Amino acid sequence: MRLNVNDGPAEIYLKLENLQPSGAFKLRGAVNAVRLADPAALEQGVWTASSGNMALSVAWVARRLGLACTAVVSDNSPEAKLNVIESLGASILKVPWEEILQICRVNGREGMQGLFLHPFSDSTVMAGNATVGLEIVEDMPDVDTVLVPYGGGGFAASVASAVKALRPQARVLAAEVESGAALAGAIAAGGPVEVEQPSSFVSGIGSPMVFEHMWPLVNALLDGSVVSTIAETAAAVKLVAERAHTIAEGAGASSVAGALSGKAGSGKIACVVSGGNIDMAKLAQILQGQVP
Amino acid sequence: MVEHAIPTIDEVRAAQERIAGEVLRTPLVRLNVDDAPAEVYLKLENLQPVGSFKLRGATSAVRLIPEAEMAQGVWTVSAGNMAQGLSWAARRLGVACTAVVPENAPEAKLANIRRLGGSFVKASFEEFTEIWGTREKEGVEGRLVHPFSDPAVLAGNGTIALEILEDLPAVDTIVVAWGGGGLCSGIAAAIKAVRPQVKVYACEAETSSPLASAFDAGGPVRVEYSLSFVDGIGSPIVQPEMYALATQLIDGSLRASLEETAAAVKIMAERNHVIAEGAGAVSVAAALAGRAGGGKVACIVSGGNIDPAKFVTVLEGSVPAAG
Repeated sequence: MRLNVNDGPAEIYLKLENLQPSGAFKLRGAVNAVRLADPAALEQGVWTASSGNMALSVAWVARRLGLACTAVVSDNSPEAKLNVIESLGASILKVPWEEILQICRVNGREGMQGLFLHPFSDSTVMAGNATVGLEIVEDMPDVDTVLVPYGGGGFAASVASAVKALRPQARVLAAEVESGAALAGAIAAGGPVEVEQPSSFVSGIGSPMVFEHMWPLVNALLDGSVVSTIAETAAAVKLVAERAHTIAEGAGASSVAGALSGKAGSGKIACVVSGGNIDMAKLAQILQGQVP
Repeated sequence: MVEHAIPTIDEVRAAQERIAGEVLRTPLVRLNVDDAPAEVYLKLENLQPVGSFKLRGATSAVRLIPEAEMAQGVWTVSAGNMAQGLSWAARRLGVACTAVVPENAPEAKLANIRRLGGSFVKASFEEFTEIWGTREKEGVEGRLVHPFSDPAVLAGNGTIALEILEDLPAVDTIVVAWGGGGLCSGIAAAIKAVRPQVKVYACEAETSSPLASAFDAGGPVRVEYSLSFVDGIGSPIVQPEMYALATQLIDGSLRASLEETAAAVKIMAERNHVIAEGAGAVSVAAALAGRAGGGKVACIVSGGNIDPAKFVTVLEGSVPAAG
C-alpha cells in the first residue's frame, strides 16, 4: 500500500509484514520449513535460537500444528519478550549470548531434540521469506527499488533473489541503521569488517559484522546499503503510525527511513516493514516526538 | 423524510468497479487474542489512504456526478473522515471540496483535510446534525455528497461486505460501528442479498447510542449525548430514513463502554500492530465482550484517525478525554 506522503522523494509503498500473526515476516520461513520437514523429524518438536521475531514465529507455527517448541534465548533477553513466547506455549532455555552465536554458526546444540530452525541461514526458511519478494512484484510489476531491513542477511538476500528472478532491472537495497551498519561497512571495505554497534531502540537489526558465510551471497544479490540514523528511524515509526495507522518496530521502519531520506533514489520504492513488535512504552515516546 | 432504497447487489458490484484501483482492497486479519468469546477478525479500513472506509463511498459517489456539475465543487457534512475521503476523491478529479465539520472535530482530522486540499466550515454540533436532515448550509455551494444517506455512498460501503465474503466465506456475524448508519446499512444490504443467514450488528458507544434506543422504543428518539474520545460516531437521534433501513437490515445494536473501547484500541495495537480510532474499535470491543456471540465474527475497523496524544493515553491504559 502507498505511504501517504506528498512531499517524499519517491512514491513509497509499504509491504506490511508487521500484520503477520506473529508480528513479523519470519512466520513465512518458519511455516515453509516446518511444512517441508519429514513428519518423523517433527515428532520431537521444533526449536530455534532467538528471543525475538523468529522465536515468536516458530512458537506460533508449532502451536498451530500441535508441536512441542523450545526457544533457546540469550540470558539477557527482556522478560516482556519471553512472556509472549511462553504465552504461545513454547518453553524457554536461557544460555549466554556467546552460545547463541555458536548455535547459529554450527547449526545445532548438543542435547537439543527435534528439528532446528536456523533463524536466518536455513534454505527452507529463506525460501519462505523470499515469498515477500514474489508478492511485491505481483502487486507492483513496475517496482524500481525494494528496500529490505538487513539483520543477519538471510531475509534481504532471499527477498533480493526472488525480486531479481522476476524483475532483474529492479534494485534491491539493504536498510541499516547507524547502530550496527555491518553491511555498509563491509561494502566500503570490500569484505566483512567489525563496525561500531552503539545500543539503540532498534533491536531487530544491527550487528557488529557481516557473517562470513553470508557475505558472498549478499554481496552478489544486493545493490547497496542505505544507512539511516536512529532519529530518522524513530521519525519513520511516527510517520507510519500517523499516516498509515499501523505500528512498525524500529527495524521494520528502517526501510521507510531510508526511502524518505532520498538515499534510495526516486521512482516506485517498496519498503518492507519487516515487523511490528515494539515495546508500547517506546512507541508512546516516539509518538511524542522523542527518540527512545 | 427522504425515502431510501436499499442498494441492490448489482449496484454494489457496479460501485466495486467504480472504485477499483482507487481504493485499497483491505486485508481481513485474525485478532491475535486466544481467549476471546469468538474468532474475531479485523477488516482493516484504517489502512485506506485517508485512514477510513469513507473513501469507498466518496469515490463511488463522485464518479457518478455529471461533468457539467463538477465545476461547482462538492461538499459534505462530516466529523472528519468523510471530509477526508471526499477531499481525497475530489482532488483526484480536480474538483473543489468543502466540509462542514462539528466544532469538536479533532485537530488531527482538520489538519488532514487541509493536507488533502479541502477546506472546512465549523458548525455547532446541533446544527451539524441538523444538516444531515436539511441538506443545506448557508454559504456552502456545490453538490452535496451526503456522508451516509446517499445511494452511491451506501453501495460503495457495501463493497466491504463483498471482500469479507471472498476472504472468509464462513463468516457468521459482522459487527459495524453505527455513526450515521451508512456503513452499517451498506454492508448489511450487500451481505443480506447474497448470504442472508449472516448476522449484522450495529455497534455504538454507550455515551451516545441512538440506534439501540430507537430499537428499544420502536422508532427514533432523542437520546442524551456526551462528547468522548469516540468522536467519529454518536448523534442525538437516528435519521428517520436510516432507521427505516436499519429495521429491515440490522439484527440489533450493541453498546460498548468507553473503557471497553479504549481497551480494544490498545489490544489491536499490541497484538496486531494496527492503530484504530475509537469509532473503529467499538465493534471489536463489543465482540470481545461476547455481545456478538461466538463463531467467526468480522469486525469493521472503520478508521484510524486518532490524535496521537489520545492514542498514547490509551497505550498507558487510560481512557482519553473528549475534545
